[in-house]
Amino acid sequence: MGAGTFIAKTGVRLLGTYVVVLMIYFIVVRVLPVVAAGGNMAADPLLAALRRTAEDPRFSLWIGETIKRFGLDRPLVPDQLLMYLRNVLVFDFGISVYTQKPVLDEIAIRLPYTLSFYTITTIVPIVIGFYLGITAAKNRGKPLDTAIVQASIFTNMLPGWLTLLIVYYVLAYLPRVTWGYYIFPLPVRAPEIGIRDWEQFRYLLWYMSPMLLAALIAWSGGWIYYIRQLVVSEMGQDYVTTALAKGLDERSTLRKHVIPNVRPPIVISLAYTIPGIFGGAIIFEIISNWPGIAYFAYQALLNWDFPVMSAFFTISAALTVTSLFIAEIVLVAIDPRVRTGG
Amino acid sequence: MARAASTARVRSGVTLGLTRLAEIAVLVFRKKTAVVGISLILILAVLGGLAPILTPYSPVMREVVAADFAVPEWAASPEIARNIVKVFDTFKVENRVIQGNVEVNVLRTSGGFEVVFEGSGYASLLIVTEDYLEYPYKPARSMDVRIAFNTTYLEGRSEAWYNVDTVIINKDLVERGEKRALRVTLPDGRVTEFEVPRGIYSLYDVVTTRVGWIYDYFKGALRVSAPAVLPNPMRNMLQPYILSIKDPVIRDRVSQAFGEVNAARELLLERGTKIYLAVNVTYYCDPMNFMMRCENGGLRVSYAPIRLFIKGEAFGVLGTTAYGNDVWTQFIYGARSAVVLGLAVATVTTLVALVFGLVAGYRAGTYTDHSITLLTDIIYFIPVIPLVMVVGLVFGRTLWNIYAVLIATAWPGGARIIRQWTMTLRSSLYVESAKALGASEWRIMIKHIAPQLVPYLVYRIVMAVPGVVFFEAGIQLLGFGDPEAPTWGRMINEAYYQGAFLMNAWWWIIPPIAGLIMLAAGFVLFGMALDEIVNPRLRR
Repeated sequence: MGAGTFIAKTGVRLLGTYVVVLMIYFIVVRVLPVVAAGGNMAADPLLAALRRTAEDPRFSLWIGETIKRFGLDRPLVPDQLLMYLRNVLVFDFGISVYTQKPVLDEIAIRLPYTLSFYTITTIVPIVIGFYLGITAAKNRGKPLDTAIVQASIFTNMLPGWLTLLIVYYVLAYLPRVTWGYYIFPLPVRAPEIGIRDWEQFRYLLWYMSPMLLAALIAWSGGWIYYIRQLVVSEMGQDYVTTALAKGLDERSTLRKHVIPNVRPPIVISLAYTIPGIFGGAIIFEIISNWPGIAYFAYQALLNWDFPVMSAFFTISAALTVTSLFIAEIVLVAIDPRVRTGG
Repeated sequence: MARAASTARVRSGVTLGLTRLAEIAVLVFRKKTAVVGISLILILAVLGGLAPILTPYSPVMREVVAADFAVPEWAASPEIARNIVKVFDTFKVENRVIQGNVEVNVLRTSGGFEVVFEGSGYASLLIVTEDYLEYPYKPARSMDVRIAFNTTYLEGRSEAWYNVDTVIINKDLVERGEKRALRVTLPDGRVTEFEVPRGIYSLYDVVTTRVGWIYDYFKGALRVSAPAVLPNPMRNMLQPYILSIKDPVIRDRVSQAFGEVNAARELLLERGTKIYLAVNVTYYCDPMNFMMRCENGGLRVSYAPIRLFIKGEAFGVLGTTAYGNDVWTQFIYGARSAVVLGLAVATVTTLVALVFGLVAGYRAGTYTDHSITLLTDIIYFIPVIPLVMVVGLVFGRTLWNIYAVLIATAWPGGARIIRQWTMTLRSSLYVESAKALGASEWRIMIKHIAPQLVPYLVYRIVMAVPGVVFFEAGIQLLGFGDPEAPTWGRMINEAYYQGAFLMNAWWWIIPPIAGLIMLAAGFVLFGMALDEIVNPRLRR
């Protein structure tokens, strides 16, 4: 099996799964409430939300347009389902029921906030994990190793939001309440969307810092422990003994022999961690009032703004699929064993 | 013959699993970390199990047990106000004014009193409590007075007008005759000042039983000089004064000025202040009044004991929440639900994983296996948190819905690993022989393969418990949790959104967080010890 065939097969499989996942969301959100109400179309939460909006005379015209556009007067299955799938697959989410603006525009202005937070909290923990994990592995059995391993197990045990709460309590609220001094800002006055001057940007960074700190504490532990275990088990292999016996020093043995072998499992588990980080980041954004897309989606959910909800769901599912797909391609590139199907 | 052999095999399969489990148990108890983990879990389990004994309150009914944000009792100095419950059940008549032809009878009932009026004319009785409460602490912020009385017209008599007015009095202030000057700034800049006596507050009420709030009372409540014509049945003593102000703006300002006085603070002015209550019962029956049409009226007023509850600023083991609910109760019931629900949901998830993993592994390579793999892929791609929020909105924010979503989305990870194990075990000798003896597929899976997986399943359950509890707590923090579930998640949610952080209510913030950490540490330590035993490759 060649690399091309492998990638094509994987792509088709992932795409199929992706479509099914999107269908499931539609069924849970739109079809099941109607089924639960005994086939009464009025139980459709989207229609109910639109009716609420239509009470405002400014929007009553627009509602008719939306109903037509979403085909809300047609049967849910299969007409609306197919229409939904077609729109969602090309990322055409329509207009937000609540803010009355195109969903993609709304998401686009919030995307930098989410992306900056995600990329930092995805990459930095791996870097920390890589260095601390290898340090621990080099010193295995020594007190440094034990300390690193225990700390990483402890922080990994706690979910990110709990770490965030602790960080907020200890470093933001406690100094503020006891000494009247701000180390970190309280998660109350969120930065505005759109940076205009340096002052705003500084506030943004300051506001983000407790979130970042908590995320790094929470998500580095897993990597440190995982990479240390990988390296330790790799270092027990015969080829390492051989390399060392050849007279290669430990440093170059690690760099030339161990780390290349450790890379594929790290890439695959990175792909598997991304959705988890995304899920954790939703809670982060909501606790901190961070003006990213998850907070936007959260507000949309409270208003039953289906276009935004489906956009957020689609984006999270697409993120998972894409990361897994890229991971498989990269795996093929760096680990030829995968291609042979063995 | 074949049957006998196969039962023997079955026994050996099950006993094999059990002996392995016993072996593991012995090994586990040799490990220090495992013992620490198990004891952490046991502490929480015992706390949760004894919850109904350890606390008289309920975690779901929001009983107000003390003032809001009350400090734990052990952390407060002895001067800080504690809960005081005083039941006033002895009364004496201090003053009686009778005009006209009214016959008044005062009777003692159990704990309360009863007044019977008969005839026409005017009568006013001032009945005070015989004992008083000497307040021993620093001033408290709030109090709660519970009064209950019942008025009935006597049989065959016409209906008189009456009023029953309960007044709470600070003895020292009244004896000293202190007045409070109220300054009211009018919109045009003028300042009006007026004086009201301090330490007398009327409990504004309607006739039936209910909690009394404290309102200012200053219009000479204890002194009735003229027959008052009272609307039936009650009125707020503030009302006539405020309504007598013609200018609506000044009227607003004056009533606002009264609203800003904390009556409880003034009543509980200092240590050693004495508090008592007075009940003013007024009866008016005038045959000459054509509106009243009262001829020879009759009225019975029965008054129950008065319960005075001064809400402590220090309470119990762990203080109170922003609503005045007991934190300790919520904490130990939270431990109960965390251990019980955590274990239950983790077990169910693992069993679902077992069923799918067994079937997929035993029929590896078949259509069934492929469809299960596809299913696990699909579930893996579903973003769980958005899904759980939507399910909460559509089908209700209950624990069952949250856990249903969790179970439905959490099993694939375990199923994948169980599938691998099953594939290996499938080709083992005893499975082959059971097959040869004609055992059915399900029989082999359940009686021969599953027992071999028991150690792994136990490990899996133990490691899954913290995730279950954290998941629920995280959903609670998002505001999509069950608002009535007695869980640590709800505590954290309320503490975070009801100002515990700003008030630095550490007694409310730390317990649920510490509980979660303890639980997670317990199960992780136990699970890691199990892991080292179950997966020998990690043994050092």
